[in-house]
Amino acid sequence: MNNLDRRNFLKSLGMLSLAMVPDISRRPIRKLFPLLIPAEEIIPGTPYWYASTCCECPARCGTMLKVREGRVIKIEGNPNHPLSRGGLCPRGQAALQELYNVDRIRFPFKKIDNAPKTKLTWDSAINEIKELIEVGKTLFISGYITSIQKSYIQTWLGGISEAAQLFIYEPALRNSYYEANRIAFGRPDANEYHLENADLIMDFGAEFMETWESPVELSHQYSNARRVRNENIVKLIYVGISESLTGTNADEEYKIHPKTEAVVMLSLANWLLDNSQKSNINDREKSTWRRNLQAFTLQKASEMSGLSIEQLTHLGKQLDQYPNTLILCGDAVAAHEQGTDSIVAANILNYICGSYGNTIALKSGQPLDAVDAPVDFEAVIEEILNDQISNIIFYNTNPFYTYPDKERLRKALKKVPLKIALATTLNDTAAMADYVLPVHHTIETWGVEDLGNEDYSLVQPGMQPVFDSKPVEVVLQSIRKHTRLPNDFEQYIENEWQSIFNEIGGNGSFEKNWKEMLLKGGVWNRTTLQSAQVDASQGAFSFLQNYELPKVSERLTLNAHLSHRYYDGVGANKSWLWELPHQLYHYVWDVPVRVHPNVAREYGLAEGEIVSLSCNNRSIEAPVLITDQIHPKVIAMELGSGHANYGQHAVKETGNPADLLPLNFDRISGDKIFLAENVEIKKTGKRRDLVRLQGSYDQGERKIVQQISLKEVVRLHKQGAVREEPHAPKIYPEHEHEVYDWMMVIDLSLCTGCGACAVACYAENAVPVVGKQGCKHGREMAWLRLEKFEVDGRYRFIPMLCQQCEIAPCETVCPVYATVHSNEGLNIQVYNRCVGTRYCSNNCPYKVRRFNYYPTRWEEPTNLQLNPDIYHRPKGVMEKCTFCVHRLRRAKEEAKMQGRLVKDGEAIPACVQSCPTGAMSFGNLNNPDSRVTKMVNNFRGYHVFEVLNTQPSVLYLKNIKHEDKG
Amino acid sequence: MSKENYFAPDLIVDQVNAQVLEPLKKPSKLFYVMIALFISFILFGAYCLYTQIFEGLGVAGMNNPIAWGIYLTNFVFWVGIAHSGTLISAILFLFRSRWRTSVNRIAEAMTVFAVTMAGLFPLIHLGRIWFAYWLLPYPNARHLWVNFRSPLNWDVFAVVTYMTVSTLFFIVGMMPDMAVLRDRFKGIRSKIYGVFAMGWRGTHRQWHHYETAYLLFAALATPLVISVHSIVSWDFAMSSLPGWHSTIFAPYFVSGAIFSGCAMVITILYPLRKFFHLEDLITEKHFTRISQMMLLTSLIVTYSYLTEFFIAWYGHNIFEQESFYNRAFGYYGIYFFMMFVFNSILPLGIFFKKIRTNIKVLFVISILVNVGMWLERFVIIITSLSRDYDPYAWGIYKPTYIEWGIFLGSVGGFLLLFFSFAKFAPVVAISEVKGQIHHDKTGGDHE
Repeated sequence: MNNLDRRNFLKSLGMLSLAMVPDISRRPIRKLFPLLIPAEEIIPGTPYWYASTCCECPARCGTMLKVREGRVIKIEGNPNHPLSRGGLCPRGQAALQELYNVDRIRFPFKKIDNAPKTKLTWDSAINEIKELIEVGKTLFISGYITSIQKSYIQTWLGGISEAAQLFIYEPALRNSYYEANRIAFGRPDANEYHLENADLIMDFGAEFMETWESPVELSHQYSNARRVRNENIVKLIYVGISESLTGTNADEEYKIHPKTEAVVMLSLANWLLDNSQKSNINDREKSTWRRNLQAFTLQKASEMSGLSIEQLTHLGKQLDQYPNTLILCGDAVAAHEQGTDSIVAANILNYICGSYGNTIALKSGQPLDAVDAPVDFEAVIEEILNDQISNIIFYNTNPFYTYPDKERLRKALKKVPLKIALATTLNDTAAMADYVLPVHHTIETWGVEDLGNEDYSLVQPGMQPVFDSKPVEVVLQSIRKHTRLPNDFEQYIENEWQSIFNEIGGNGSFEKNWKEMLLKGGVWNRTTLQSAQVDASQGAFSFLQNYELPKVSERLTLNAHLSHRYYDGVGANKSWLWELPHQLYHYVWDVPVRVHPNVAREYGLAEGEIVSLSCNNRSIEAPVLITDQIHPKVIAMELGSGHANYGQHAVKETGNPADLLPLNFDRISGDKIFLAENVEIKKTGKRRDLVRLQGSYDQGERKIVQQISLKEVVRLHKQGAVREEPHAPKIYPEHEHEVYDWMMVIDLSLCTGCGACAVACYAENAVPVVGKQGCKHGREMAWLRLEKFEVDGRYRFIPMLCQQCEIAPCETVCPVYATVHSNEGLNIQVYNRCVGTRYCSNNCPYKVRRFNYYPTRWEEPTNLQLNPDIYHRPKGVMEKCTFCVHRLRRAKEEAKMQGRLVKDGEAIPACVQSCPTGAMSFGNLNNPDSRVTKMVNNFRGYHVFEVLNTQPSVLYLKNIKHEDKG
Repeated sequence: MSKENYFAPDLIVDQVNAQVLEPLKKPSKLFYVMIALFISFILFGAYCLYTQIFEGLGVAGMNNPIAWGIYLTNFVFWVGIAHSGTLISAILFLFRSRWRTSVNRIAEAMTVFAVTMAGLFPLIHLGRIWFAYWLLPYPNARHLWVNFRSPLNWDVFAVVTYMTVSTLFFIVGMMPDMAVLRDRFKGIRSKIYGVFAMGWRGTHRQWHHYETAYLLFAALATPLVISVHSIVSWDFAMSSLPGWHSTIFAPYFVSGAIFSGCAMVITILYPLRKFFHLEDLITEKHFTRISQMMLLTSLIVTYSYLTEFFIAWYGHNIFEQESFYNRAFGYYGIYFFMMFVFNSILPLGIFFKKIRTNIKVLFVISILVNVGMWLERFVIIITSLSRDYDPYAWGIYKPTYIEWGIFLGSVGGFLLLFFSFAKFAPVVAISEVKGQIHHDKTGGDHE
C-alpha cells in the first residue's frame, strides 16, 4: 500500500462510496403497456402527466396525475375529459390525501375479536384466509366501483360458489332517477343534463354545484349559461328545505316545508296548463293532463309547502316567461319515502315545459349506475342474522358510518365467522374485520369506467404503490384462483380494453389507439344531445291518479345531507377538506347542526351550544349553528362527523347524523332516506365553540364584492364602454415590466364559491394544515380563501388571494427587503431573507399574508406529496400566494428552450387551472392576444379597495345580477 | 421674585453626602428578598423566551389579523417611560428649572433602564430572532442591504441612538458624584467608582469642562426626546391601517411618552424616597411639579384621543369609522374606556391643589396612568388590527402566559437594574444639590 497516494486514495474512496450507494429509486413500474416515456428517458425534475379517472365520488371526472420523480404530487382535471374539462372539485383533488394518508394500512394484519392486532405477511395472510374461506356463502360488500372491477369481482365470486353475492352499498347514489324515468316515460334510463342550454333552472334541492350527480360537469355547464349570450344569462331559482352552496348561488331562493316539493311542482304544472301558451302539450292531450292534475291547485301547494299563492304564481310565471327551462330535483329535498314521486313530478314539469330534447335528455342504452338499492341491504343483514353468511369481504364501503342502526349491524357482523376488509385506510367498517388487507388506491392501479353512451374513462396508475399493497383483483385471485380469469391482472385489463376497442370500432391498430387513449384518458364522443322524444302520456297519468300526498310532520325534520367536502363521510380523513372552511358559514374541523332562529329561540340555544338530537331511538350530540337561511321546521347537518374509527383527522366529538335516519326507504326505488322526521332537541349544558374563519358577512360600504345588473351590462356593452384605470399619484417610480406582466382576472359572475381553487393551492404549494386549534387562534395558512359577502340581499363569493399589488403596502414596510417587486409584476416573498417582523401582514389591506407561527411537520407519508418545486418555509417566516411562480418559471424555461415567449394559457397558477367554471383567467398583460389583455378593459372590472391605490394585479369582474325582462 | 425652595428648609450642605450615601451601606434582608424576586421574574421571562424561540412564535397569542401583540405594546410602553428621564435632565436643564435637581438622576437611570428593556422587545417579537442582525446595514458580500423606506429600520436607528446618548449623558452626569464615592470607599469598590469618576478631582478646569459637556449633551439629547417617539409613532402612522394611519401620531405619541414617563417617575420616587429616607431632598414640591407636567401632557393626549374620533367621523372614511367604532364599542371597548378614565379623567384632579400636594394620591394616580398608558398602546395596536379592511380577516387576540411572562421578565429586569443602581450609586445628584442649596441659602443666582 505504499503507492497509495492521496489522489488514488480519494479515487478509490469515491468508487467505493458510489458502489455502496443503495438503489434508492424504486423499481420502475412493470408497465402493462409500453411506457410512453421509456424509463431511461425520464428526466429528474420534470413533471410527467398521466391521464386517469377520479374515483372519489360516483361522478368519475377525468384527471391528470402530475408525477415528479415517480410520485404523484397533484391531481388536476383532464382538460379533454367530457366531465371535468380541466376543472376538479375539492374532493377530487384531495384524493391525494387518501393516497398519502398517515393512516394508510401498511401491511396485512389480523385482529380477531378483542385480540391484539397481529402483523402478517401477505403469504401468511392469504394462506390463513384460504383455509377459512372454504366453507359457506360469501358476501362481497363494496362501494361504487369501476365497471370493470365490478365484472371481475362478480366473475370471481361465481368461482367461489353459486350463492356468493356482490352487494354494491353506495347509499349516496340514487336509483330514483331510473325509476322515475321508468314511471314517467317507460324508460329506466339515466338523465343527461344540459344546463348550458337553459335560461331558467328551477332547482328543487339538486346541489349540482356540490354533490349532486356530476358537480364539476354541471358547474361547468351552468357557468356557460351564466355568461352573457344574446343579452341574457341563465336564471337559477332554488327551492329547498335547507341552505346550500347551490341555493346561495341562486338568484331566488325559496324554503318549503319538507316533503312538499312534489306538490309544488305538480301545482306549477297544473297552473302552466291553464296559464301558459308555452307548454308542448297539444290541446287534445291537455284535457287529460288537466283532469289528472286538477287536484294539485296552487291553494293546496301553498297550504302544504308554506309558500304563498303569490310566490307560487311567480314561480309559474317564471316557467312561462323563459323559453328554455330545466327543472331539477335532487336529494337535498327528495331523499324521503316518496322521493321518486318528487322526481317523477319534476319529469312531468320538465315535460310540460318542453325541456326534453333541449335542456334534459335520457341517456340511451343500459342504465349506467347499477348499484344495489339500500333497501336490499336490509335483506342482506337479515340473511346474516339468520347465519346464512360465513364470509364477508368489505371493499371501498363504509356501512358502519352510513347505516343508521349500528347495533343491528354489529350484532349481524358478530355472526359472520370470517370478515375480510380490503382497504386503503382503516374506516369504521374495516376496523370490524378479522383480516385487513391493504389494497391499491385508484391512483396506484388500473381500471376502466363506463360513462354510458359508449364513453369509457381510463383509470391509470401514476406511480408505484406507496406501501406494500396489492390490487383488489390480485388479492382475490390469490385467495381463490378462478380459472376463467387470467392469472395476470394486467393481462385482464388489457383484454378488457381490447374488447372495448372492438366494441367502439376504432380505426387502426390497437397499439396505436391505446397510446392515444393513454394520453387522452379514455374514449368518448359525447357531443350531441340525445334528442329522442319522450312520451309521458301513459306512465305519468297512472302515476298522477295513484299519487298519494305525503304525510308532512309538523315537528322538526333533520336533513342529514351529503357534504360538499366529505360527501357521505368518506372525505373525513382528509385534512385539506377539514381545513377548507364551510362555504356558507366558514366553520372548520367540526360539523354543527344548523337551526333556524325560531328553533333556537324555542329551545333557548346559542351558537356553539351542544345539543342532543334524538330520533328513531338513537341520539347524537352536535354543536349548534343558527342561521335564518333554513326552513324553520328543518334542522340540517352535513354528513362527515362522528366516525368511530377513521384515522387521525376524523372528527369524533360530534355525532354522526346518519345515526338518526330511519330504517325505511324510498317506497319505489329503495333509496336511502336522508330526512329524519320528528327530531327531538335537548340541551346538554355543554359548549364547544365553533371555529369560524370569516369575521363578518356584512361588507357595508367596503365594495369588496360588487355587482352590476344585467340591464346595465347590456346597455354598457352596446355603448362599447371600457373600464378606466383610475390614475392616482405615485411616490415611488413605476415598475418596469418589459417582457411579462402577469395578471389575473376573476369573474365573480362565474365563481360559485366551491373551493376547488383553495384546495388546489394547498396541494400545489405545500400549504401547511394547522388543525382546529391553529384555526381557532386565527393561524390558518390558506393562501387563497373564499369570502362570502352580502350584496343586494343575496350572498356572493369572492376568492381572495395575494393581489400582487403594483404599489404594494407590504414592500415598503419590510426592513430587510424580504418582499420585493419582480420585473414581471409579481410581489415576491423571499423566505430566506424574512426575519419575521410581520409588519407586511399588518400593512396588507387584504390580509392575505400567512405567518409560520410553528414549524410544519410533514408526517410520513404525507411528505411524499409535497411539491419539489416549492421551498418549504421554516417557522418564523411570512408566506403568501406567489401566483405559482414556479409554474410560471417552468413555462418560461420551456419557452426559452424553444426561443420564444410563453404562449397564453401555458403558464397558469394552480387555482386558475382547477376552477371548474373557468371563473379565473391568468396571463401576460404584455401579450396583446392573451385572455387577460382582452378582459382587462372590461367595464365590469374593478379592484378591491381601489381607494387605497395599491394597484393590484388581480382584477375582479363584477357579478352580474340577473333581472327578469319586462 | 423670591425663589421657591425645593428642599427641606433646615437642610444644610453638609448633610447631603450623608443623606444621599446612606442607602449605599450594607443592604438589609428585604433588599435581598426583592433582588431574589426580580431575578425570579427574569428567569421566568427567560424561560418563556426560550420556549418561544424553540417552539415557534405560536406560543404567543398573535394571529393573522393581529400580527403584533403585547410585545410591541411593551416596546412602546418602555420607550415612552424612557422619555421623562431625558426630558427632566436635558430639557428642564436647558430651561433652568431648578426643581429638576433632586430627581434628575433617578429619571435618567429610569431612562437608561427602560430603553434597555424597550430595545429587547422588537427583537423578542421577531419570527427569527437569530437573524435580528439583518436589520443592521452592515457591508456583506451578498449585497444585501436594509430597506430605508421601512419605519422599522428608522426605529432601529432611533432607539439605538437614543440609548447611546442617554447612557452617555447618564454616565457623564454622575462623574463628580462617582469621585465622591471613590474617595469614600476603599479597595475594589473604590477602583470601580474610580473608573466611572474618570480621574475627577474637582478642579476648576474640570468643572468648567464638565459643565460645557453637560450642556452639550443636554442640547444633543433634547431633539432625541422628540425624534425617538415620533419615529416609534411612525411605525404605526406610516402604515395604511385605519386607526394607525394618522398625521397626529408623532406629537400624540411624544406627549403620551412624557405623560407616562412622568407617571413612572412618581411611581418610582414615592417608595424610593420612603425606603432611603430622602424626604429632605425630595419633597412634596417635586411631586407637585412632576404632576403638573403630567397634567399638561394628559391634556394633550386627551385632545389627541378626541381628535382621532372627530377625524374618523368628519373624514367620512368608512374603514376609519368602523375602526374607531370598534375601538370604543367592540370586543376591546372596555380597555378603551379604562384607558380614557385613567389617562384623561383622573389626571384632571391635579388641577386641584389638595390633590397635587398629596403624595399618596399622586402615587395612586401615577400607577393608574401607567396602566392607562400601557392600555393606550394596547388599544391602538390590537384593536386597530382586529378589524381593518377585510371583514373576512377580522379576529381576536388574547395574550398568552408566554407573553405576560416576558413582560414580567422585563419588569423584573428594569427593577433589578434600578435597585442595583440605587444600592451602588447615588440616587440624587450630590454635586448639583449642594450647589443648589448653596445658591438658595446665599441667594446667589446666575440665571
